[in-house]
Amino acid sequence: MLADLAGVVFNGLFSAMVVFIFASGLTLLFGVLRILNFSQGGFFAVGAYLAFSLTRLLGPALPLWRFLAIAVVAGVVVGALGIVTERLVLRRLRQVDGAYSLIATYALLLLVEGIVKLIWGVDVRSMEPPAELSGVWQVGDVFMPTYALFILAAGLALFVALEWLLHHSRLGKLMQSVATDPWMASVLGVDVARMQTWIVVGGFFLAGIAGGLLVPNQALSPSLAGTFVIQAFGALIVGGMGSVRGTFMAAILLCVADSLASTYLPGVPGVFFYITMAALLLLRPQGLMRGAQL
Amino acid sequence: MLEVGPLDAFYGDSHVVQSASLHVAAGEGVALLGRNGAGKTTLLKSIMNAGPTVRGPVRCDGAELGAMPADRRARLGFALVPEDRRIYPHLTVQENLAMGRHGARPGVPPRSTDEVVEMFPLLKQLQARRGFELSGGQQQMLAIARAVVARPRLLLLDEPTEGLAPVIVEQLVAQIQAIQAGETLALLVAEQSIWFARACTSRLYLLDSGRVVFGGTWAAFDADPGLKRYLAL
Ligand SMILES: Nc1ncnc2c1ncn2[C@@H]1O[C@H](COP(=O)(O)OP(=O)(O)OP(=O)(O)O)[C@@H](O)[C@H]1O
Ligand SMILES: [Mg+2]
Repeated sequence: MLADLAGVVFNGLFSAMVVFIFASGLTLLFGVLRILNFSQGGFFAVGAYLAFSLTRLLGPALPLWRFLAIAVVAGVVVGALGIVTERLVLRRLRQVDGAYSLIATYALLLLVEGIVKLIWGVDVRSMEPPAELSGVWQVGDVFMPTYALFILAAGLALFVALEWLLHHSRLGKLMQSVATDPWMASVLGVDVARMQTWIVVGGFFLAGIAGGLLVPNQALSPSLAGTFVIQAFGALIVGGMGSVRGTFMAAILLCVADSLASTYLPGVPGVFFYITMAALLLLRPQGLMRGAQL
Repeated sequence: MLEVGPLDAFYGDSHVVQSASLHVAAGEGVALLGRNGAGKTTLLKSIMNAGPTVRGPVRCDGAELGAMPADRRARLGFALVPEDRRIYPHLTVQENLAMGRHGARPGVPPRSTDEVVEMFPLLKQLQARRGFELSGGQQQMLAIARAVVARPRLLLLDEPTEGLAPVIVEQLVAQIQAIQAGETLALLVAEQSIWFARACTSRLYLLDSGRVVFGGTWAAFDADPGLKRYLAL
């Protein structure tokens, strides 16, 4: 019973880190630029497919370091796509109402999914994790796939890195200033437009690297991101719209609650994510980290 | 060093500043007076290209700035202290001052925090405070201090004395004069307080409904009592 519980919590935490890794870029883009980027999922899929193709290209063996390097390459390529997207689309959305930017980024999502279909086709692909991450750890009666442990560690590392960057580095202070008052930042001599471009690149980099890290054990299809997107938006909203800390905590609360409920109240799997979300929003309509910075 | 106009400024369809012309020489202090809503703020923002839609030339040392964005004007040596101060609430006093370094001109190192705090001793005890913990007067002082970090050549002050205690206003005059004694700093001050404006400047422009209705020395202003009507509320 206790071991069951530990296993269930472990599964919840694993899903939580998957959601957080996916949602981190989304949070950055919304926290600093107030762009709700629906197309994040499409670029996530691009990262995943890139990682898949690169892995194929480099031969059958997949050592851990190469898996990581490929994920970084996917991040960099998608980050570069971020520059193009920013120039062509996002920059034009700064002066307009939020509803337009939702529609525009949704259109972008459809476009990117279409391009993914053109390049990689519609067949479902799959990929194994690297050998080092293929095993299973057993602690007591709990079995933990090494890959899941890796994702747990990666999510935690990403969270710590983003927290440090945003709250303790000079660049982070600058990003917060641009987020809270871009007008004053520009009057003080900050090239706000360039700053915003780099933040988009950062958000897209996170989408790409998320694709590279999360591609193993997934059914890789052009609409791969569909399931994550909704959960990631859930975590973003419950977290307080643009706070990394909030998104992180919300992902854990929602996913662990969902995992517990799906085990002990079977029959309605996946629904408890949304029930918990509704409950948390009733308790704290502004989200967990209301008013907090990033 | 600054030559403006004839310049028109718009917010959407409303034509707020109408063919206004003014100039400020290097190191000179000039006041911009006018009633509430006369267009003083809009004119200062237009010089910075930070907000209103601007038509007409703004020249710096003879070079027309065209569509140059605000951040590049800052790095050219323009500094604007907005009427609402715009201190970053989540940043400490020190961090707010550090934000001012972004406006440093190429080859001109910005003032260090110590140097600025020396100039504005009021800030000394407050360095670790966050913006939201400061009083209105402290915020105003910080906003001006932040603006001089980058060693600007032109300081655009929008109602700097609003909400300040008279003692502090006197200190502010002394501080501005101290900076001007050390380096060439031109000043364009939008004010309601004639006393402060007079203490820091040698000339003034009167703005009424978006038009410049008078430009001249304080002596000329005093000689024409009819001009006071542009200031009455
Ligand atoms: N953002 C804006 N959008 C539309 N109209 C504006 C805006 N800002 C100012 N105005 C209008 O422009 C006119 C001039 O305003 P401005 O703030 O420049 O005057 P001001 O001389 O600075 O007044 P005050 O002494 O109250 O600061 C006013 O009629 C005001 O209503
Ligand atoms: Mg004003």
